[in-house]
Amino acid sequence: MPMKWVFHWQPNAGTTVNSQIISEVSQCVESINGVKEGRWKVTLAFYKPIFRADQAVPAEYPRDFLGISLPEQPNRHYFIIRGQKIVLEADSSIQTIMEKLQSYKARVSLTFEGTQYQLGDFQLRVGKVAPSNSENSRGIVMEVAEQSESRKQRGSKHNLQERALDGAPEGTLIILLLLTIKFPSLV
Amino acid sequence: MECVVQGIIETQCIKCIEVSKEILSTKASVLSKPSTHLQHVEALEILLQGLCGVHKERLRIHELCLKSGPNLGHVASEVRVLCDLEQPDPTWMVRHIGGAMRGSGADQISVLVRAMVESKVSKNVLRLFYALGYKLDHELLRVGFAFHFQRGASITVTVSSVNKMLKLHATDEAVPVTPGIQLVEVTALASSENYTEVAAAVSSFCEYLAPLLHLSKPGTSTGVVSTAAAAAASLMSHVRCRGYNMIEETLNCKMVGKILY
Repeated sequence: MPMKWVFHWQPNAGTTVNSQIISEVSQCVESINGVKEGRWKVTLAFYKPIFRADQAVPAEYPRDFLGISLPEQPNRHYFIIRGQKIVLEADSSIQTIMEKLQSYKARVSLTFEGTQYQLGDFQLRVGKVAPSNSENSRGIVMEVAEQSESRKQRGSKHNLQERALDGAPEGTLIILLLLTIKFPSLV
Repeated sequence: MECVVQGIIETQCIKCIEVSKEILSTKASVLSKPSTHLQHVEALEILLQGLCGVHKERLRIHELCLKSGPNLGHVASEVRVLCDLEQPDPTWMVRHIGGAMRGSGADQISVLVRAMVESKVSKNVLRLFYALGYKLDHELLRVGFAFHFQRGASITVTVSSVNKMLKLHATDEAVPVTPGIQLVEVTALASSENYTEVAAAVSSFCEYLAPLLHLSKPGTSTGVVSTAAAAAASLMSHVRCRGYNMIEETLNCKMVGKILY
């Protein structure tokens, strides 16, 4: 499993997120020899419980129940209750089961999608964030992942938590430096 | 979506000439011992093996039925969590069974056609559903065997005893809900485009089991079949006389009909 950093793009004051920024980021990546590999997509849904008779949601029901599909596992779906640190891995059909139960409803659904690049030992994903039923971009996300084979060859620690505490690999920092020269608002 | 029929079979013993189990693995001669008993279920197993052409799989499923908490959801909902205890590392599945097809078209079909969705899940599935507000309504342990085969459709036949647990999740201390009776289910996955063909395939297959048990839509039980004992004895007698090769090479549909009718 690769190690990843996911960045939330912060536009400069007075500007809004738009497709032009994504286009410029992509051009920047390609200018430092990033090779376009294809498209990627993640879907994320925030669920809320449904109660009869317009009752207020009792406190014991989770308010942080998420569902997410990842491009690395196209036939899988993950349900997460963050506060209780529960992550359920399931077949994609679990979403159909949840719809049929009619006990929880997707309150907000977001789609993260964009272009994937190979940049040396790293995989870089740049994309927009938009509601699933709208084309209006609400944000930009960037993901930098060091490929597993590269980490193995370096003989580095395999514990993800330890590596995160140690800080990003040097290569990730170089990519970020190159991008921040062009886009000072990044992180 | 799935097509399903159910029936019951008694597990009481019948008097029969013993058929050595070695017949089914070697060409040893038959032992003759008039007072030995053979169960209806064993006869059904041998019949299924001949009809399906595949080996049985052992079945040990812990089924937990969860229901939504008070006022959760537009309507009360139910979901089943199944744990396959027969696997070296138990595997988990969630199954939702929806409403059955209704109307004049459904009445003309001899099998039940109903919505069904299932998903393999990780082992923390109970923890998730409890956190979502679902409660354990009841749990069962199904122990028996199953045949999975292709005959006009992908069909599964399960023969199992249904057991209840006297203590929470105590699968090692389960006792039969109906001693002396086992549940037989014939199921086949279907879609809205092909359910008529699948239903026909299931119905056709069930005809070969008719002398031993009657299969019908769940909820419309017709009890045990009065000819079961005679049919089982006839089947096993035929096996005794003709030996192993007959089971493996000629116990097809025509031969089953010749034996049992």
